[in-house]
Amino acid sequence: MTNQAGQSPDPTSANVAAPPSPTRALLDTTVQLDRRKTETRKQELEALLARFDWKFSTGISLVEFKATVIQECLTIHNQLRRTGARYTRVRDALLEKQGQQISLRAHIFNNILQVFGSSFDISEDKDRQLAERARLLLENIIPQLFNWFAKESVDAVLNDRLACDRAKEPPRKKHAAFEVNLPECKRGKNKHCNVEDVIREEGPQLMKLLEPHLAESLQLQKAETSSSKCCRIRKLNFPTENVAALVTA
Amino acid sequence: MAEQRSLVNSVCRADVLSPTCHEAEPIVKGEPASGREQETGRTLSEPSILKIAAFGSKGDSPTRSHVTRPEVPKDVATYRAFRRLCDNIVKELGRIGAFLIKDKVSDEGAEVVAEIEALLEELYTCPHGQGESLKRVVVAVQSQVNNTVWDRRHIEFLRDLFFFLRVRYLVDEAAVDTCYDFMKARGLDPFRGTICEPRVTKRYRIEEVLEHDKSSGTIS
Repeated sequence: MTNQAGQSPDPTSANVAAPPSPTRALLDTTVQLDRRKTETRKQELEALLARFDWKFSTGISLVEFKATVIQECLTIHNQLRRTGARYTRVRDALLEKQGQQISLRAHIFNNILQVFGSSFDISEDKDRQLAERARLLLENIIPQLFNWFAKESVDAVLNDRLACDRAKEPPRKKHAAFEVNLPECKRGKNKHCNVEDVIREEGPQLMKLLEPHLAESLQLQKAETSSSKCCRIRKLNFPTENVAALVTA
Repeated sequence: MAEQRSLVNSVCRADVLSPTCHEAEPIVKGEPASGREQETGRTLSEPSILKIAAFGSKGDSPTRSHVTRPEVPKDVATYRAFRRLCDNIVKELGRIGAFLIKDKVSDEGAEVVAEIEALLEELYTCPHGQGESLKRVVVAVQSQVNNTVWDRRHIEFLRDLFFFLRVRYLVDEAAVDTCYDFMKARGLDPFRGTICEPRVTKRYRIEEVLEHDKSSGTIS
């Protein structure tokens, strides 16, 4: 590398500033979900993420993303593809159920699917047409959601050490229904899963690195208290805070 | 002479209803053969002629198959409808440039927008393509162009897509993926999905009409 005069720059010279070290951000599942849930959260997060040079996520987050937002899309799709399904009835029935993911389901209906019709004044024929269009739209959106997480939302999805096969598998349409292939994570039962081993090996070291940031994040505090639980994919509750696990290095 | 007539009749019987056989004498059922029987040995009854004619026109002989017009296969018929709709959309998109003001389609351009939306609805019902792929393409397009003020991005996206589709016979999963690629390339949000119940609201207005009464010179 030479300067304009053709002389080699002196590395000890005070004029040459050391290049700034790249700032990195780890995006966990909550952040990724919030980027897709509502526009206001998305804008806040995008503004925050613009300050980072390199953004990455992990295979575990991708599996969690599949287990939450994609799985809910599949639930809606399965209801809509039933013979004679009516959109407003399916929507009203699914939103009245009790469960942890009902609010996420409402976000999908309102902000991702965006198919509108009032159950009071819609005719049966029109309602069926809406159901068909909503189903077709979901068939477009479900693969797009996976591609967005895996290819577009971050610079890289780290999966080398964990080697989670379920994370690599995109949702696949069978004859009529979609298959998302979620793992059954039970400690000691799934002999091929590396997640438990990796967390056992790397957990203490990772927690040391994260200790300075514990006060900032409710999720990290939870992680510390429940660090003995290794494989918690299906049990996680997602708090609504936006920047749960943005870690700068 | 009798030998010549015999030859003509035998040729005509072999080549039934041939337009070249105008000089042959007609064979009428029940009429005396007037010496033809002696010449040919037997006559052909009318049903026999019809049978032979039907046999000849069934297309058993490859040289006569051009007589009956083959039906257009279903795929070709649906492709024609698909191509016509794509061409019409491209034609309408050619007109919309005149209505672009500051990268947005003006109110005057609503006519073209309404026409394209109607053509998209028609395309949704077109049975061309593999499975429901064409319907998925249309739904993806409608998710971008419904309920919004069109700007340059929407027009460029539609141009990209329909220039691609109109020269494509196979509409399958790959066409859906390409549709989303075009969408992203033009800066549109692939997760925008606005579909609502199609509804036309008619509004009526009552106006008072003033008429000039010529006889009295007053306005009633």
